[in-house]
Amino acid sequence: MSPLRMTSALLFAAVLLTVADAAAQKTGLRAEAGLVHYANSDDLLVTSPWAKAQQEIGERWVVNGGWEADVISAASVDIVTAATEGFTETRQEATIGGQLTVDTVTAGVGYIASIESDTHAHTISASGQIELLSRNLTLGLSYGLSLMEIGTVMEPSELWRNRTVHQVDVSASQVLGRNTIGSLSYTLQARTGLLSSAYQRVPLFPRDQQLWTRDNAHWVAERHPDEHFRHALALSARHSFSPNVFVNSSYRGYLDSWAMRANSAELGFDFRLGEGMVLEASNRFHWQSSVSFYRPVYTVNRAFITRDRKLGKMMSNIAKLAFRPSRKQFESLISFEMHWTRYDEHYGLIGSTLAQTPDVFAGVFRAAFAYEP
Amino acid sequence: MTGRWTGRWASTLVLLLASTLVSACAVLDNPYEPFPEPDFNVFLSKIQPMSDSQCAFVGCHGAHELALTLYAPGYLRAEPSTPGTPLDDTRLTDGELAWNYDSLRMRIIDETSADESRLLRKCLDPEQGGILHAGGFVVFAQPTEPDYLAFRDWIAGGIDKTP
Repeated sequence: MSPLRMTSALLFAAVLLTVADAAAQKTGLRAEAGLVHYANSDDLLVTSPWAKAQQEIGERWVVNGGWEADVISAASVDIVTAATEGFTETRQEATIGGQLTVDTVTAGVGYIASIESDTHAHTISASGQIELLSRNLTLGLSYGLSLMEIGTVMEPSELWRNRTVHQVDVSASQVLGRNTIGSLSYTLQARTGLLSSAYQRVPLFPRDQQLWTRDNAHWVAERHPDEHFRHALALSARHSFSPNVFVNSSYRGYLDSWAMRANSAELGFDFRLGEGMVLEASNRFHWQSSVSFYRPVYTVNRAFITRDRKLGKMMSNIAKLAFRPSRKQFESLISFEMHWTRYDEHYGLIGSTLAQTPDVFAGVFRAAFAYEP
Repeated sequence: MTGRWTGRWASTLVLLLASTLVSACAVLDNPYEPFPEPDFNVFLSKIQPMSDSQCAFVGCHGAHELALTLYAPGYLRAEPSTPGTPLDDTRLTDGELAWNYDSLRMRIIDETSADESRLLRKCLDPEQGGILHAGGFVVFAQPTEPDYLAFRDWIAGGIDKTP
């Protein structure tokens, strides 16, 4: 289905919901739909329509369900080399979940099924949250387990490999004053199984070869370690300068068992422009070291070799502007992000010669609509 | 009651942070991995002729754009001939032969069985237990063909002789 047709279908669904429930009483239903469009200077296009709904049942239960799809179209030089041609790919994802709230305790469970031509994934999750100290302190704990089967389109499913992901999140959010809320969270993720790309090939140059071109490299399969432990600690604060101006700041530190160290800092402002009108502006900067086995060029075969530029030393910046108009039962969002990424140690194919990858620029457009009859 | 809960959460957080620091100090070993060493003379006498006649066509592995690149007389050469002149059908140079040998033996890294190796199964008809090859091309229709058996034995020798 083309992105245009999907957008039309979503808008039609939103209008249908609006008309059907125009005169209804408050029903405890919330329906949302939206579209994300990503395009970058590597000729990668991703269009992601989504829709979800949640329904309150009584005073304690909430059930929810949703759907989203990613329509990916790629023709970058690296992808062309690895897979011999560009491709168009669709990923579909369905979610279902439920929450029970009793006094200050909330517990939830969820399930996500994700299908694409070379990956099948099932994720189950459970979460709990408790409010303490007159509801000034909120503690949260969640666990997720993803079971994935990964292969290539060409391979029979018997050759597909497994990937398992466990994730634990612990969080605490505390009211720090009349105008300030602070949060601290820690995420531990353990991944095992096939962690490299099933498609990616890595150029291996003879040791005495001085000229790095596509034609004098042996292209061998990417190999990553089959265990990966990741840790992230995030601190954030939201402060109100006035009833109409809020500032949000956050820092996230990351390290993992592959020796990557990463830092992200974000600063943003929310401006209430009037009744039901919010303007958000934010900027996020990220910088990271490479994993220990990352090399821009391999001249010796190693147990682990990679061409994943996101595992190399890099920095990126995301500037975001969002507008949230809302009126009665309706909420909406329109936002635009500008991404800039510099891969310091990655060599891509420029023509048939390996050369420093140029900076990647990307734009992300989001539109969403929510209706609560 | 509330204080006890908060204390437990704080202890848990400290434990998780401690595990973070431990993992931060871990060093991932990434040793040199030598290529398998299947018999080079068997490669010259049995495998290279198969490559010349079955694999190295310009539309198949006789091109640089593909993952597995193979040189062959009359097809792709390391030193391209002048445009407009006939294809170079002289015998392969030592460098081209070494390239082909390396290209094939690299593809049996991490394999433990010749019969189960991707390199061999990609050549065999999927109906006979092979893996679908790009373009649907089938090199060996049956696992009883002499060339199949020779290729299997050569791969098995490489797996056995991985340093």
